[in-house]
Parts: sequence; C-alpha cells; structure tokens
Amino acid sequence: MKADLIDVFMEELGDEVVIHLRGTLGIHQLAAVREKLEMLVSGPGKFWFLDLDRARFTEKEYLELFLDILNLIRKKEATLVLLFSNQENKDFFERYFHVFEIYPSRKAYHQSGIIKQLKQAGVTYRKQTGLRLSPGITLFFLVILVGWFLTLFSMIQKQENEIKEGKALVMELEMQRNESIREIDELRSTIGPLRNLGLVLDSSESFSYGRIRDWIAYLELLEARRRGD
Amino acid sequence: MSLRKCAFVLYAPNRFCGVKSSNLSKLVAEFHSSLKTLLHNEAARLSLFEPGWMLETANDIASKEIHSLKEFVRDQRLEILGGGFHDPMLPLFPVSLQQLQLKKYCTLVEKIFLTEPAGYFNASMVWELGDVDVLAGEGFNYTLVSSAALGDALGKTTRVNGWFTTEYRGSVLHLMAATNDLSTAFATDTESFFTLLNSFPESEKGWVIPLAVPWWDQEQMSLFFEKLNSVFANEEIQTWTCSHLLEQQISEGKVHLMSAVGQDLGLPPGALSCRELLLRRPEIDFLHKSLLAVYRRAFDSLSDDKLTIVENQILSAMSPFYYSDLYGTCGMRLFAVRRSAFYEIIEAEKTVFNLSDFKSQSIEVTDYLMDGKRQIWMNNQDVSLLLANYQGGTLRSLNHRPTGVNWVNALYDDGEKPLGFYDFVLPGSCSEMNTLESVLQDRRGELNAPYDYQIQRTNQSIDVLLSAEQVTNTAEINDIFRIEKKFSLSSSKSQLKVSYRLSHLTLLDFSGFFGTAVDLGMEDTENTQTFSIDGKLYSFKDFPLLLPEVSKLEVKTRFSGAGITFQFKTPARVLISKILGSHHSAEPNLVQGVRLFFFREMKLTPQDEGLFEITCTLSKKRWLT
Repeated sequence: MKADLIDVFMEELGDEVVIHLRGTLGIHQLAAVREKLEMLVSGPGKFWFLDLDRARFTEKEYLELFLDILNLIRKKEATLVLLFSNQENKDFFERYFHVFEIYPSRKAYHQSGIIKQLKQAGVTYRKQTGLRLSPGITLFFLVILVGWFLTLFSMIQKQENEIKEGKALVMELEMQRNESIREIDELRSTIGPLRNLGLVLDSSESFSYGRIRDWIAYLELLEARRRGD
Repeated sequence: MSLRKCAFVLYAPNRFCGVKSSNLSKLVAEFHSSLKTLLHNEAARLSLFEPGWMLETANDIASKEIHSLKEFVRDQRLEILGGGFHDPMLPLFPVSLQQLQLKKYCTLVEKIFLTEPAGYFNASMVWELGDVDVLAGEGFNYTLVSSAALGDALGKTTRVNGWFTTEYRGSVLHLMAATNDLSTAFATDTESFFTLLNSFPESEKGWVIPLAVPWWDQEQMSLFFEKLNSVFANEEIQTWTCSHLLEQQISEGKVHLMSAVGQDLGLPPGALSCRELLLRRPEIDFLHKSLLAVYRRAFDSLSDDKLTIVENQILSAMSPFYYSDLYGTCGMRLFAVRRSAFYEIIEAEKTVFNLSDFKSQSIEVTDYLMDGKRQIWMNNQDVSLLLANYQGGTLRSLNHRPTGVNWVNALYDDGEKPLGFYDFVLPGSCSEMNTLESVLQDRRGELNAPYDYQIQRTNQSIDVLLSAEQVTNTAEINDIFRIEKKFSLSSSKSQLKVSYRLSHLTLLDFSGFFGTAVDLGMEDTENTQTFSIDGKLYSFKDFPLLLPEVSKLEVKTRFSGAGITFQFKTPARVLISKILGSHHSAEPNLVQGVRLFFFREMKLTPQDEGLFEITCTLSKKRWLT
C-alpha cells in the first residue's frame, strides 16, 4: 500500500499549514510522497510550510515533485516555504535556490522583513471580491484617516477666523471713511460762505476727491502724514 | 553463636489512592511517627525508602517527625535510599524521563534530610542492564536486587549474599543481594523469621531484608511496627544500614547480564522481562505508547524550558499501578486506575498543545503503536483519536480533552484490544440478542482487513477516507464488499462523523446486517452514569438490551461530567452489552465497560450500495437525571 510508506505530520495554524516529512526518502517513497502532498495541498491554506529538516532525499526526482507542488500552490495564490537548515538539503536544492523560498524555520520566515509581513497580511486577507485588511492594518489606516480629517478641520477653522477678522477690519474702515466724508462735507458747508466771499481759497478744488478710489489707502496716507511719518 | 548482621530496608509501597486526602495525610503522619518511635530503640538501624509524594506530604504535615528522622540520619542510624519519584520505576521509559524522576527524588531527599542518597531502591526489584549507566550517571553507588535473580545470573543454586560489581557502557554499579524469603517470613510472624534466619549458614556477611510497610491500613501498620520492634529487641541480631554493610564487606566478584522481571507487576512466574506486560495487556501497551507519543511530540515541537514543564507533568503517568496487570487499586484491571492513567496522558497532551501554539487541527501518520505499521493520529482543539487503518480502520482511542476522558477504555480479560468502530457483516440469521452477543464476543464476521487512506481537508473538518475490499463469510458464501469508511473530525466542535458506503461486489444478492461496535470503558457503581436512548433512561441492570430502532443514544458519566452522544442519520438497531471481567472469583462479574453495537439490515443486489452514518458528539455537561 502506497499510503503506508511514509511518516506525514500536518498541522494547521490559522491560515498557515505546516507539513513535516521525515526519514530517508528514495524512489520507492516518491509516489507516496507525491500522493500525500498533492492530497494535502488541495485543502485550504494560504501559507504552506514544508518542513524537510529531518528528511533526506536520495533521488533528484524529488526536485521535480517540489516544483510541481510549488506550481499547485501558486495556482491557489498561496505561498510555499521550504524549511530546513542542514547542509545536505541545501546541496540538494542548490539548483533551485532562486525558485523556492527556503528558511531554516517558520520563525525565521516571519522575521525575514516588514515587506514580507505586509505581503503576508495582504495575501492572508485578500479575497476575490476586493481588499480585506487585518485588524492591525485597519487600525493603522483608521488612525491615519482620523488624523487627516482633524488636520483639515483645524485648517478650515483657522482660515474662517482669518476671514472673519478681515471682514471686521473692512467694516471698521468703511465706517471711518463715511465719517471722514461727513466731516469734510460739514467743513465744506462751514467754509462755503467764506469761500463765496473770496476770503478763503478752496484748496480742495486742486484735488479731486471724487477721483480718489482707494479711500482706505488715502486715509492711511493722511493718518501717516498726521503722525508725521 | 555469633550475631547475625541484618540490614532492614523499610519501604512504603506506592498505591493508587482512592482514600480521601485528609485520611491519607493522617496515615502518612502515623507512619512517620511510628518510625520515629522505632528508632528510639538504640539497637535499631535501618534504611528507608518512601515514594516522592509521601515524602512531600510528610514534610508538610509531620515536620517534627521529619526533624527527628533527620537527627537519626546524622547519627548514621537511618539511611535514606534514593529511587524513582513514582516508585517503582520500570525501565520502559526514555532515559531522560528516568533521570528526571531520579533527580527529582534526590533533590527532595537533599532538601529534607540534607543528605545525598547513595543507594537506589526499586520496590518491584526490576532490573535491566541498561539501568547501570542511568543510575551511575545520577550518582548512585549501589542498588538492591533480588538474591534469586543474582543467583540465576551467577548460575548458583545456593543462596547468594553480599554485593557484586556490574559494568555497562563504562559505568560501574554495585548490586547488593536482598533476601526476599526473609521478608516473606517476617510477614508471617517473627518466629518464622528467626527460624529461617538461624537456618542460614553462619557468616560475617550481613543479610539485606526489604520490608513493605502496610501504611494504607492503620491497624496493620501498628502491628507491623510492633513486630519489628520485637525483632530489634532480639539479641541474636545486629542491625545496620545497607551502606554500612557495603562498606564493611568486600565485593563477591563481578556479574554480567543480570536481569530481574520484577515483583508485584502481575506477571506470571515464567515471564522473562517486565516488557511482557506490554504484550500481555493491550491497555498498558497503549498507555505506554501514548506516553511516548506525547513525549515525542513535546520533544519535537517545544523549546527546552517548555519541554521541562511537560516532562515534569508526564512523570506521574509513569506511576507503577498504571503498568501492573493487577486488580484492585494496584493495577490497570480496575477501571478507575485506567481512567486516571489516561487522564494524566490527556492532561500532558493538553499542555503540549497549549505550549506549541496549536490552534486548530493536526494529523499525523506515524508508527504510534511502535508495531511496525503506521496509524493516523487526528487532533482538533478538544478531541484526539488514533485510527488504526491497518486493523480494519478502528479507533484505538477517542480522547476528549475538556473532560480528560478516553472513551475507548474498556478491558477484555482475554487480552483482546478494546476498539471503537470495528465493523461486522453478519448473516440475516443473527437477529437474536444471544446470537449477536456471542458473534460479537468472538468477533466473527469482523471486517478487519487493512484499509488504504486518503486525507481530505475542508474548512469545516479534516477527513480520513479509508477504502478497501473486505471479504466476509455469511451463510457459507463469501461476500465481497468495497467499503469506504470516512472519519470526519470537525474543526470547531467535539464531533466525529463516521460514514460508510458499502458496494456489493459479489454476483449474488446479499441479505444480512452491517454494523459497527464501540467498546466504552465504564464501571458499574451506583448512579455513576446514565444511558438515555431516544429520551428514555436506562441503567446497567437493563443490559444486555436490543432495541430495533434508535435515533439517538446518549451516555453521561457523573465522575468527570463527560458525555458521548451517538446520532444516526437513519434509525439503527442497537445492542448494548456489558463487558465483564473476573476479579476474585472465576465468575465474570466485574463490569469493565459496555459494548455498543449499531447495525442495520441491508439487502443488496450485485453492484448495489448501502449507506450508514453515525455522528458522535463528545461533551462536558452537568449531571442530568
């Protein structure tokens, strides 16, 4: 019976599936190993760790087998990681070192970099219908979004306050202008009879108040003159 | 007439304690108090060994007595011997676990008595050559072995006395002959003891006499100490500690390849090794293999500090009563002992899974039973089971972790293995209860050919699909069935679904029964469990019982709150019978479990298919009446 030729140990750890192979595996066990591995990888799982640290391969055909398994797993958009640290297996897989992801342990794989972890989180939570995020990543994005909104609101608030201050200044200056016009009119009416008698030379005629458009600038100019600047 | 030199070794045999803890403490205190009184007799010198738990208890509750004993140790009138924490430790376990037991005990002795034990004591006197380097490695200088076993190794028919040297793998140990017939004579009366002692040739050499103290019975214990006091009062003998005898005498020579089977283990006189226990009693063998499997798993998956936690926990599962083929509180023939044994293993298993971040489910195909064939060990969070696909796809265990119960824990007197889901094809004539019982007892028509297996994983469960062609002989005709038997262990619930698909491959019609049996371990003590069948309650006195149509069968036990429910997709016939064993008399009247046989009638034409499905749910519930 093919089934009884090899020791297999499979363990599920959430989305991760760890398969341990042990013993010296030769040509007689090849079919059994292929059958069992293909059977196991057909089930659910996103990360497949194949622990080969205690397995020894005597035939090159096993390389093809692992390539086939890698293809099967990639078709499922999952990841295959081979776990071993012994020199014998390193020599055996030397030709395909760039093809397989090889780590000494599952822990080493998890600690192998932030990009890998992000990829892991991405692959773990991705589904066909869209993007799903892990709780940690969701919280991270939530904090960033809330921060953005708070900054935006504070900027809008600040600008509104500045506009309000500007409007108040304009209104105050408008009032000052009206007051000044009224005072000039009063003065004109006061000196009107004297001017008619020819006692006072009307200097205002030399300056056309009607042509003055920027009253604010003009009044500021007058104020500056008054202060002697 | 010269004085006879004797070294009395007092030891407290380790027993499975059914007595209440307050009573136990009282007995332990009484034992140490009597010992203290005995040693006040100036002539008394002796060696002492007591199991680890007893020493710990004595240190807690009898500190005055312990203090006095410490004084006697300092005066070299009392020698404390070392040994396994759960004595007697059999040489069936990994060396690291044996070393841990020895270390644990020696540390305790050093802490309490401020002395390092030089001698190793094993209450069953079991001995294998491999013990030499284990004991020498832990610093022991000598050990006691039975003089009869020593005589066999030396090829002497005369009584062997004194001590010998043995070596193994570069380690040396001294073997001291213990005279067991003097112990037996002492147990009879003091007169017999002296008669036998005086019949021995006069010699300067001393006699080592191990004496078991009946500490579990207050009356017997006081009688024992009275008797011993009278022996010490006799002027014909001179008492010494074993170490003193070893120092005073010279070696009698060397001995090689000595082995002792061990006493009080339930082995027959012709047995050659204590390992025969594993061959004779499948329950002991299975417990032993379960312990090794849990240890192996811990060793493979845990770091050193976590492994130590598991190792310390596993030690109690090495207790001697779990490895004795004896009745009563002494061995595995008592259901309470078996239940406790598997509880220890399941607890250790639970610790391993907790420490190794085990989250959902695992499956291991390995030679669990170490019989050269591989079995399938399935686990989810709460349930673990061992599936022997080579033995008709049967369950060897069905463990429920929340309750610590292994349900497949019955015992057959004839050494037959208790199994779960072992299948039968029976002829249509087997419809009467008596006929069925006899057929099941003899396991006629059992489908026990090996199955090939396939592992299938889904989000809901992990499945093992077994398939094989099984040949049966019904009504003088060989019927061939292709059977697909599927075990589905739920990922999230304590539920196991067993489904069958039978294809009839013979060119004749088949008319008969197909069914499967489960041996549940149980005891028949009053109100310990109830059987509820389709809502109606039954008890042991109603069995054997044959019911024609059952949809749901529920068994609950009061002791652990464990429950097991069998539900059938289509109603099935059920036969419930007691599994009986014999105890004091030849009459089998001791309940060791119940055998549930679920079956249904099948009429199959050639190439026809029959289906059968059982859902088994394990639970932990409050006791319901």
